[in-house]
Amino acid sequence: MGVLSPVTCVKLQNEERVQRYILHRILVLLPVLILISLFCFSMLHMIPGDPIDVMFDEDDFDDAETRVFYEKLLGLDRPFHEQYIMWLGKVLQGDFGNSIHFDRPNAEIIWERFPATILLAFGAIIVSIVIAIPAGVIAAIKRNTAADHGAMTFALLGISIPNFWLGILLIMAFSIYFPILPSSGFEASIADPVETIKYLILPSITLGTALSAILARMTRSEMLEEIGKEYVRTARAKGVPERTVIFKHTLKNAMVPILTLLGLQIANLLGGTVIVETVFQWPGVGSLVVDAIYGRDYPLVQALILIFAVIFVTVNFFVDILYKWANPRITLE
Amino acid sequence: MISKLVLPTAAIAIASAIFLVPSVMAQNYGGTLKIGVDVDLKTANFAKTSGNSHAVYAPLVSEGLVNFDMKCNVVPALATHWDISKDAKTFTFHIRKGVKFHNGRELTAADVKKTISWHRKKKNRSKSRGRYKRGGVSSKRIKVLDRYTVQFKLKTPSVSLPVLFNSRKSQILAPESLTSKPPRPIGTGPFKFVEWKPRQYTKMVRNEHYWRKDKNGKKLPYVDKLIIKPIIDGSTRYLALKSGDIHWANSIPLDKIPNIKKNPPKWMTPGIKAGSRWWWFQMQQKHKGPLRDKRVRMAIAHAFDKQAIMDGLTWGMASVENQVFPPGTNWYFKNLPDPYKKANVKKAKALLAEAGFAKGLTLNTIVRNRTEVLNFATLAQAQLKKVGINLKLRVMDYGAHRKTTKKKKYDTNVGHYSFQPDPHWRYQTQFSTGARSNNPAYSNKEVDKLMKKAAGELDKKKRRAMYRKVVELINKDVVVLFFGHQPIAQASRKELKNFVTNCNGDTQWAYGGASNAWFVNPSKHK
Repeated sequence: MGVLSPVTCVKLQNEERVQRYILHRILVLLPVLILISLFCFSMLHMIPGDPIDVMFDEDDFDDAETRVFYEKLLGLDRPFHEQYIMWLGKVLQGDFGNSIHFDRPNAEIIWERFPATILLAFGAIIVSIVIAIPAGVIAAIKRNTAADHGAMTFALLGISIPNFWLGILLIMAFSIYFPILPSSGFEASIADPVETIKYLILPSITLGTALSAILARMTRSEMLEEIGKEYVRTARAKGVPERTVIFKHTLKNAMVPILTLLGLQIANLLGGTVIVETVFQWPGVGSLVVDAIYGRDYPLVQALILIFAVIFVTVNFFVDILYKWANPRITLE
Repeated sequence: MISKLVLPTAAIAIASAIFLVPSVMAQNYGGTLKIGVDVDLKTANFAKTSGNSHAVYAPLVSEGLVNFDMKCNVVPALATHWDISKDAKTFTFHIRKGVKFHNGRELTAADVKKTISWHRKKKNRSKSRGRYKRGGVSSKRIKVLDRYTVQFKLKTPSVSLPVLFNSRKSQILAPESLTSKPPRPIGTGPFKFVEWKPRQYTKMVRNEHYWRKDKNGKKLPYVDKLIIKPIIDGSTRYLALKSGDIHWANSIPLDKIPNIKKNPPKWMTPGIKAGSRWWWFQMQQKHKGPLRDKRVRMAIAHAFDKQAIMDGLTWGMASVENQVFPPGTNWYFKNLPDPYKKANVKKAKALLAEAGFAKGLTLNTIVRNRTEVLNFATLAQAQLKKVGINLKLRVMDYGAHRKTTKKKKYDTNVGHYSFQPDPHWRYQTQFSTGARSNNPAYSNKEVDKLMKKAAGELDKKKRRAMYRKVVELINKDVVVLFFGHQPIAQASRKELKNFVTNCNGDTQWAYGGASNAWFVNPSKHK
């Protein structure tokens, strides 16, 4: 009979720990989602005005009879708790219901809009990483020099400039004065990726700039902290090339909090960014959720909030897993 | 000698006429017209849309029995003419022969009955149902007399019934398309619906069999395709026009107008004119309070410098008017007495003191969260402050505003309403006692009586006199103050010609809009 080696034992224990962790996160997800949905449902019903108020304008002449008809049709004549339980029951069976104003399944509407949001989130993250990581590293390495001050001034501007203003400025620059990019709109074609990228550039830069500013500052401060540590001094004393010290050791250790931030930002971006979507006429979920709230489209708002919650929790989960990869000493509890 | 010169001279003259006269003088066929508008559809089923989005998109694809001309007067469309009985309760419409739906089938009177009956059924959830019901239209009282004649019978007289079937709001669709899945509206309009991608575009193509011709008898529309891009933000829409991403914009920010007028951009043809949306200030009469005292209302009316407010709202482009209908339209009344046209702060203060409010008062004012409405409320607040009236502004979105308005839980309300081509559909619905849209609970028995009589009055002169009296009485009661009309600010690029809109700024109307627009060089706009 074989005896397991200490290394194998530790490996098995770690695997078991990860499995327990994953199961725990999944089990916690359900009550979290129920709580979020209940909170959202309550808030929606507290806002003055209901879907029927929004359905008609002054010239449609909706009368009392019409109101009664729609209240019954939409279940708005039932008590609050009944409406919630009915909705929850359907969701647990995979039915997100129909949008009141679009008169189509909510799943279909949201599915149509998500590709645009994912594309924009991806574009913004790429822009922010490409700008922020090099800027933060350079600022840390060349601390208190012109490069450092320049990078941090850019960071300050990036956070301070309102993105709707930046968006309009970019449109003026690259669609009017140097007309190389379209002013607004969305194109997603696998057959024509160049056209897709053309439409993606300006909104990605608009969104990515503010994010890169925050990321650059964080990269700089984490790098400075790591550079000051003993293992870096030891590595340098041993004659390890500076490039290896910075990129293989220091940056990797500094990545943990940067990953947290990125994860939270991805989750935010996947929830849609209504201002950039409005400026660039980008058909994402941000403008969808705002329109749904204005329209008191209860089923659609509920469906969207649920999906956002799942996205947020899932992204955070993957960020935790990435921690482990970035720093194997971290244990998942 | 002379005869030797005549022929060459004539040849040169003819050649010059052909080659040197700019091609802009001839309408060119072809090209893809891209327009930017400030609304998007919620569904491609035009039988279920309503409001501004319906008014922008639906008339391009479908038409009503009547349409509007440049001054928003009613003109024939799918109906060539109509007969009204002496009691104004029976209307016989004669349908235009040879008009085809986009699927090739001829429009008949039966289609008119089927479409309107469909709208009247509650289960179909049409937004037009209320309008038809309000107009007294019932499927049981629609009769198809023959292939091209349809008759409507009403329970109460209503001279303005034909207006109800206008091409802006009440189009006739092919009944087989009313419930098609996916939705695909089939009408008789200049463009055929192709595709709708939410928040991206709506695509339409030319209707090769469109019945209307231009004034030279040539086919319409001129362009091959029409792409409507919903660009909600005004600045983005303007930049899209400037960059050439669109050729026409249905609304450009008003703050750009002074510069455009001063230095017209070389690439733009502006379409700036007086509009038809009318600004109002309402004073709630339902609950007890200071506004029930006419002296307080008169004080408010005297306190307003209406021209300053209109200048502030419209960058100096609108005049003060004290009625619903704009100048130049059929139902505009000239020389209506207006004692409140100019501000009289002294008189306002005196009236307030007389009413017991010398120290001023606070009024709860609801405001919809639209920029121009908020601007109006802020200007009104600043002016009333001078006489000691504090407007406490409660800003809310459309849903909350509508609910609060219907429950009448406010003292004052500000905003603007859309145009209606007949006074019955505006004055009756908003000023008759107990009417659902009579939000400030205005009541004047004499006004009610006059409007009831006018509803069935066939004599145009008499009817006009009645409504003039109605407006005078409404102004005298000072419950709703009229200010003026919101201008229309549209624009097209120079390479696009003849995209002219009517007094409503409609994308498509009887004799103009997208169907009559053409490119100088269509091959550059594929």
